[in-house]
Amino acid sequence: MSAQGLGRLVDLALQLEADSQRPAAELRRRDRALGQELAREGVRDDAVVTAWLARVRPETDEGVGPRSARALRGLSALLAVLGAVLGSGAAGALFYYDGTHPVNVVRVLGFFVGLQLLLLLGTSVLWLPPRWRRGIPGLELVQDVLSLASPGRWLRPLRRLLPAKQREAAVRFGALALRHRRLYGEVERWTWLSASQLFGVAFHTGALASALALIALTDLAFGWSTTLAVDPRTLERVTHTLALPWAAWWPEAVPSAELIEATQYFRGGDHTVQIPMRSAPWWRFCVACMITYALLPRLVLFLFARWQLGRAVRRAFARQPAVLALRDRLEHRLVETEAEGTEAPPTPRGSAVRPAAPAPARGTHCTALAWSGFPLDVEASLRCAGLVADAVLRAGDGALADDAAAIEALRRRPAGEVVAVLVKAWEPPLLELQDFLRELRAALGDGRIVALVPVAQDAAGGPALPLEAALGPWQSAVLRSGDPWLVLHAPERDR
Amino acid sequence: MSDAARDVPTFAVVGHPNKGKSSIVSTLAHDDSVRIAPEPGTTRVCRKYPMKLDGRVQYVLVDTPGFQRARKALAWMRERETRADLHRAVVEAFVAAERGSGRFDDECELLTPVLEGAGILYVVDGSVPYGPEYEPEMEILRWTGEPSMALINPIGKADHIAAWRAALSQYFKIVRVFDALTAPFEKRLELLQAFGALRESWRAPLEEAVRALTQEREQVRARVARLIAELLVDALSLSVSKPLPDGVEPREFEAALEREYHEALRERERVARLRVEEVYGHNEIERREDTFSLSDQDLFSVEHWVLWGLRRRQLVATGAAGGALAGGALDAAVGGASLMLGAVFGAAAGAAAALWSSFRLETARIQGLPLGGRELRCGPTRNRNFPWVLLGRALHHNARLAGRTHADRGALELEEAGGPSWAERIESSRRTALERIFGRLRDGDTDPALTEDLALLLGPIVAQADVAPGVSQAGR
Repeated sequence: MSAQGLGRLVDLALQLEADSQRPAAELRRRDRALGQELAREGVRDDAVVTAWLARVRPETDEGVGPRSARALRGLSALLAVLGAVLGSGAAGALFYYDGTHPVNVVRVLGFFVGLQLLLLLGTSVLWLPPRWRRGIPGLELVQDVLSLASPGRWLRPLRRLLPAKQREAAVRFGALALRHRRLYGEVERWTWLSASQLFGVAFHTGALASALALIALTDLAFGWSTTLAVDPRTLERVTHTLALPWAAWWPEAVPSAELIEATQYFRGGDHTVQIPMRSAPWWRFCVACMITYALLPRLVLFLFARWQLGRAVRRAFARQPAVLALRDRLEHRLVETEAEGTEAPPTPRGSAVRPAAPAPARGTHCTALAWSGFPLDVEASLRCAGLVADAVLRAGDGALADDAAAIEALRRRPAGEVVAVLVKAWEPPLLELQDFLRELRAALGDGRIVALVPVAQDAAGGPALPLEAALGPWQSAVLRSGDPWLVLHAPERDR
Repeated sequence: MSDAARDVPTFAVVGHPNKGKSSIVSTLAHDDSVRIAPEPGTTRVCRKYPMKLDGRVQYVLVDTPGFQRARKALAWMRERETRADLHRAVVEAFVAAERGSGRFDDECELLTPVLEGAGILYVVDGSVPYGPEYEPEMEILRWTGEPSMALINPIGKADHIAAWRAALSQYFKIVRVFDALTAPFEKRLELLQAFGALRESWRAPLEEAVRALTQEREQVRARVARLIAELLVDALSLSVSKPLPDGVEPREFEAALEREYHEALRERERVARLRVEEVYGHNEIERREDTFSLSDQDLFSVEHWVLWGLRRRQLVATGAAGGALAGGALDAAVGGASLMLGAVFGAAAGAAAALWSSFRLETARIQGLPLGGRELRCGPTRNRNFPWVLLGRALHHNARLAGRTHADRGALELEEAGGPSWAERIESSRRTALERIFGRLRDGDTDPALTEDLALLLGPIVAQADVAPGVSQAGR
């Protein structure tokens, strides 16, 4: 996985984070249009997400993703340089020869074989799934130590060495990984591990280069010595076992029994050790050990970590919930059923007016007018409302001329008599009724009370007082009629 | 006559004011932004609800104002009526003459889409008695000559459907009962399909629309399953922490931190609820529910923390490793003459120094920022029942939404009805698979694919909500 791929993941994460704040409908429209475009271009499967990202967040040098990629490349370079310097320093120390003590092959083996195998074992612990790690007693501590000593951890302090823009991008990447640990935790883990292995590869490359330079440019003497009681035959068995991988095709790099016998040395009283001139063949063995047990395993682990990092990035690209939601938006047909635009606010008809008279008192005599096919018994309905009918007329359900006739009949009634207009409480007040009431007022003149009486129907089909909720529209119609002598007559229901 | 309206099935929802026209549109268009007011005549202009498939219009619903002066309008037309074959021309003449006159604004507005070729969906309320004042409306609509269907929408409890059916059959070939408030998804699709009977050329696009809506419903279920999966994953890995001041007993902070933890859990559930409602197209919903409580004795842990989040145990071990490395380097430098004692002493010295410095760090500060200390952490919960409670609540919420129409503006009641909970209805093999994933989440598994695996398992469970109307309608 290239740093560029990781940079694109940063871009993806930032884009998904920004999208999560936008309305779902807007995202569906945008992404479906892009999805159709990509389908026409033949972009399929996981490539769809990458292509989508390129459309919604075109890659620019100044983007956070590319800057993160550059930051990662810069940090990797710093780690590689650090590793190479330390590696060559370590080799310089181990292959140090000042004419007094020869280069101790046992120490070279201890560092480049023993220690490396131990570190590899420890590193492999880190790569176990969390559940397995928890199951092994004491491993968590080892894992903690190794993860903290890992050069991958040095990325953070090394970040300070980056240019400001790259440092800012790296900080944002770190914050992103922290916020979405579940989504990008694996990517972060393998980024660190591949950085560790890069350091290891650089360390051993530097060490190898330094060792080869010392071998080629100086005259080194090799010997072996240890405090432990190790006889030459034991060392021969060890060296032959270690040399198995290359013994067949590079026999010169396998130390002979004579060489082992002849190059054993002991600390003398004058601190000077005599080493025969033929000790030089040890170098081939040392170099082969460094390549086989130090450099190559690190290289393999580095490649493995890079492969795992690529896999983690691909998984984060393809399997995280927000990407699945994105794929859904890109690939499924966009179904829209909602209205276009927003609905205009309601504008009330007419203007409010304060009533100039109270509703008629209980027992008031009036002329009843049944409006628009009023289906109930008129007198019973008026009784129900506490009024008494002196006369009954009808309007609103026949010819328009019948309405005019009813108005004329009402005009002829005694001047102070209340007109009670009976309406169906379950129907809304229509403009047609308002027209009629306006014409009636014109005929009656100001001051004559016209009471609007909504009547409900009970279960047996008889008249009943309406529920409070049914009265709202009627109350509103009376208020907005512009007629101060039009009142709503709606006695309270018995509780 | 508009060619567009003939090509694209268009349906004008017309009728008396306040008889549920907007409710029907709201339910069929899955749009809860449609204004449904008790005040009559709030709809003054037509509003179109195009059903689009990838931007291509499949059909259009038109919400219209109600008839306000139908008797007068019919009188106007009758004055000019000559023969039946000229009825439509008279209606057109009426609209042309009266548009903008102020006398018949509502009638002109509602008749316009009909005269442009829209099919007529005439809506009445089947819970109130039939009245002859509706006849002028139906007569005018008949004069337009456009294909029509009557919908009896029973808004209240009383049943006057038979009377309405008898009256409507005089004017309309097709009369259907459709409860806009409670119609389940399948009934809505049935009605859409029935619209195809109005004109042969509309049948195909309407069937395509119904197929698309069916597929969309499946997608909705998948989206909801994914959102519930995300909620579960998020909640099971949630923890909140608070640095502990020196000399303070953790117990003093436990209650406040536990409140914060529960609040964070509730907030996650609330956000998930909103997102699920958004998926169903319910954007303006009010919820009534009890919040859950989590009783968990193992929620708390006290950790020592220092700079960069290292725990004291880690720091000691790191110091030892660092000392061993330094000691090892010393051994190398002196050519092994120290017999590796450097490494041994280095490790011991490193560990001691680190231990000492970790205590020091707890009180040290750089520019006012503490470098280390103790931290009280609440969560993630290890309560094995917790994910099931959360899942049950999410499934219950989903079931309520799946059965709710967009015309329903009441609060969403989420108190659990009696009987087995949603989580208990999950079949045992699926429950085992779910428990396995919950276990992995409890163990801190961070595999991003877990959410997807969980969503796949939840998909069929979420779908059950659509086929269990008894549950989804409960509590209305």
